[in-house]
Amino acid sequence: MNTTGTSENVREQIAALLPRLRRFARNLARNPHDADDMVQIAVERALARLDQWRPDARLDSWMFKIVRNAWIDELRSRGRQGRVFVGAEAGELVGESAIDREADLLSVQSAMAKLPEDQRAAVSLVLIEGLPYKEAAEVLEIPIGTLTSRLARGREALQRMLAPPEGRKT
Amino acid sequence: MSFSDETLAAYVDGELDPAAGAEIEEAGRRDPSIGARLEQYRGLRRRLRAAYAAELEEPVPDRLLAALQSPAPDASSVLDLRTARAAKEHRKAATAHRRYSLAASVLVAVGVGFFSWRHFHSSAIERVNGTLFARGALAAGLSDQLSGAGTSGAAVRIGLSFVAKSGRYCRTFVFAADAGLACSDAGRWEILVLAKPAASEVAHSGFRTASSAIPVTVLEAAEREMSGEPLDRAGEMRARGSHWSNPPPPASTAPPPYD
Repeated sequence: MNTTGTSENVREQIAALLPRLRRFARNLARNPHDADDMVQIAVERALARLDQWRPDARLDSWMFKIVRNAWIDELRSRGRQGRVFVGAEAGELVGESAIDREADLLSVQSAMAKLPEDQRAAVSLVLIEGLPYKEAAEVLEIPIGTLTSRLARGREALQRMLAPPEGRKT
Repeated sequence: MSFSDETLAAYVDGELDPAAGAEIEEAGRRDPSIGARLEQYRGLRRRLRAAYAAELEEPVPDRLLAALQSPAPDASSVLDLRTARAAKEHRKAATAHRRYSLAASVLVAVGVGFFSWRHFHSSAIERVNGTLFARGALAAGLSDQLSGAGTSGAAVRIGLSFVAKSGRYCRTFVFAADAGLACSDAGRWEILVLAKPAASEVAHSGFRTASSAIPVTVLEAAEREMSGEPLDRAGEMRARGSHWSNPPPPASTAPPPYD
């Protein structure tokens, strides 16, 4: 094909996105090993479908969506096998070694890990990855209204769990 | 003037136009309760970003970079299969004679491949009662590696993995300058097809790992054996976890269990 130049360029851009893709995948899976597996699956799928990516679309959103779909596939296949959802049961946290000393960071991540999956994904995309609502809604394949309501509930739950010591109790 | 939580949050998230934003800023200055709510949203955003900033600094594992660098034509098993199927479609108009010659070429490839293997890789292959089995590094690679995951240092590279009509797991592989199809057999890997990539295939694509492309003869053999679709990454990991024994029945013919 004559798209080699473009495709090489896109590969470089995907390489630059890998840290964010891993971070998003970790927030979904709550387990760093599963997260990296998902990112690897997503990269392979993306390379196989490079022709489906339109240059006027945001590459990060496109990749987040592929990661997210890889995660949904994984959840489905686990469900079919009746396997235990390791992340949820064990409450496994990610990146412990990097942030052990930072109690606040740990508590933020613990609070995130306790959010329901749909809220966690919305919070992760908008508040951490900085996607506009419209892009985040497309990644999650939901209407913007649904996204903002998941965001609101996620924010509320996080505020509750992370209530500052001076105690603003609702 | 009052604002809904959703509006204030949207402003903090950068979703409002400048005019609406200015209005909220102004209200926040006049009304301390609005200012406090804005600060709450900003504070949460800051804390989240700070908590997850360190993850961006972590080195990316080699396997992810390797996945990105593998050449598109054999980067994914799906693509490999498509290539094989496209080749098959192409041949649909071919004569029976041509089919026979194709079958013969596979046999030749097996024969030629075997002799080259016996010559150069006898430590990676053994012959038991006329059947070839993988051993050593090849057997280990077949058992342990995921498809496409071979790093530059790995001797074996896996193309695609699938459940065969015979009800066992099979995988295409590249080892040194040879490629083939192996199927799990009571803890061992039986080698069904061995072939060398055609010189033209190697020369044609300019990719770094072009010499390890899986030849069409092997892909065709894989397609003949295959039941359903190739395994995806998760499927491969499950198969590896079960030591490549007892594959589940193909999803297309068996309904998922609901218990």
